[in-house]
Amino acid sequence: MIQDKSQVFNTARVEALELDNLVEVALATMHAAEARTESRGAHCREDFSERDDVNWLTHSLYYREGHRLAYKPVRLKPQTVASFEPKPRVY
Amino acid sequence: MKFSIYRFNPDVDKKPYMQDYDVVLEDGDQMLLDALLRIKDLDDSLSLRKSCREGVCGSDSMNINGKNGLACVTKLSDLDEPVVLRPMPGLPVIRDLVVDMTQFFEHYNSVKPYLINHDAPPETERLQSPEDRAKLDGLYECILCGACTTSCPSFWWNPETFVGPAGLMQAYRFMADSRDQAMDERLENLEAPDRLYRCHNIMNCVDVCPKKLNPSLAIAKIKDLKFEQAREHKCNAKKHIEIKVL
Amino acid sequence: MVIELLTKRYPGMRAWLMQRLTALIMAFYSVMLLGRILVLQPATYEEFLGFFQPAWFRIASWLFWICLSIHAWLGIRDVFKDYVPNMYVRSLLLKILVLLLWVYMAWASWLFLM
Ligand code: SF4
Repeated sequence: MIQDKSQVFNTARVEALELDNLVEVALATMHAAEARTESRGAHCREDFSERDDVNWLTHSLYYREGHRLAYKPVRLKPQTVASFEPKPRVY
Repeated sequence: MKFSIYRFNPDVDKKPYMQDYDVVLEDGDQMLLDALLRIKDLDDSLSLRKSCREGVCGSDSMNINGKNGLACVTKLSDLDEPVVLRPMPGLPVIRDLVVDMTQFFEHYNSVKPYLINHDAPPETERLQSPEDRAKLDGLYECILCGACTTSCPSFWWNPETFVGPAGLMQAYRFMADSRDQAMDERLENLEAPDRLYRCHNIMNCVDVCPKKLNPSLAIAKIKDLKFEQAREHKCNAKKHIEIKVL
Repeated sequence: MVIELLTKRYPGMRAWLMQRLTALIMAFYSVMLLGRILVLQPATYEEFLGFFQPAWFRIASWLFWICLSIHAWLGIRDVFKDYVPNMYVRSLLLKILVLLLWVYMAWASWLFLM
């Protein structure tokens, strides 16, 4: 419950709105990650520990209604610079 | 831990007042900002700016027991109780600990705090030797928190005209940059009697800077450069006259 | 070169440099004055008149007074700028200051040069 009703520099309200957005981003992350059955960069799963460029070289799109997911291909031919083959990053 | 905090909300208060808080801290609470967030849990009407919580963003600068500083890098163990917190002096208060920094940033903008270089942009970066780069140390680190400028009496008395330590140090930061080509313009910009020369080496700025920078030294170096510039003009003028005579 | 810096082209630099130059001259004079007092130790009024007899010393004192006036003008103007925000009061005070400094200047000229 926000006690502060002021119109002036109301950080309590701003923080509540921020929290709302954070929850939404967290939901999007959870649903997209759950569906993505591979590991890639910071997305790291114990049950699917390998990178899978055949099935998952794709962007995940999340829609709030019904937590629907859609996918969009990664553009592999940049318009102005030379492209390079995607490959696992190893250090 | 006991606090006494400056409160003012223009919506409801006619006058600012000090409010006392007694807050129970938890184990992880090291810095003043941690305590302030505990207080904010108890009373969400307390407004303050904050962001990075590690002395990088410069948002939570305030007057702590009479001295300007950043709440996030001020250790609670260093503070005497009750900790008296006020907004930074010399700027209009918007609410509680939040001040209106418009004037501060206007002064900052007035020194053109960006690289001026009239050469065509090169393929890659504009390179600098390590020695030239080292000249920017102690200048570029400024996070524009405003602690220095708002602790400066010269700024309190002449806020419209005096650029203030933070702005002047950034002016020098670009004068000292080997890639910048606007030295004359920058020096000329500070010639009006009150823009630069209001500094009387009071050195409050050096005392409070949470990044341990030295605006006072930068200001002294600008004065040196101005002296040099004027001397060169004199030489150029002489050459001019000689050519005319010939 | 220094003269050039004291022109209108450099209003900020002029005031700043003037303050320091005059301070330097006054410091020299003060040391000299002190030295002279210690050496001659004027005790009576007659001795004191003699103390101020040599022409070079009177001219030096006069120069000192000019520096003092300039220094005081710049310094007090700064103080007024800081502490007297009201423009009318400030300009009034500055006018009084100028008047005072000129009166003292005239008096000093009379004392040292006549
Ligand atoms: S010089 Fe220091 S005190 Fe001043 S704005 Fe920069 S970081 Fe803050």
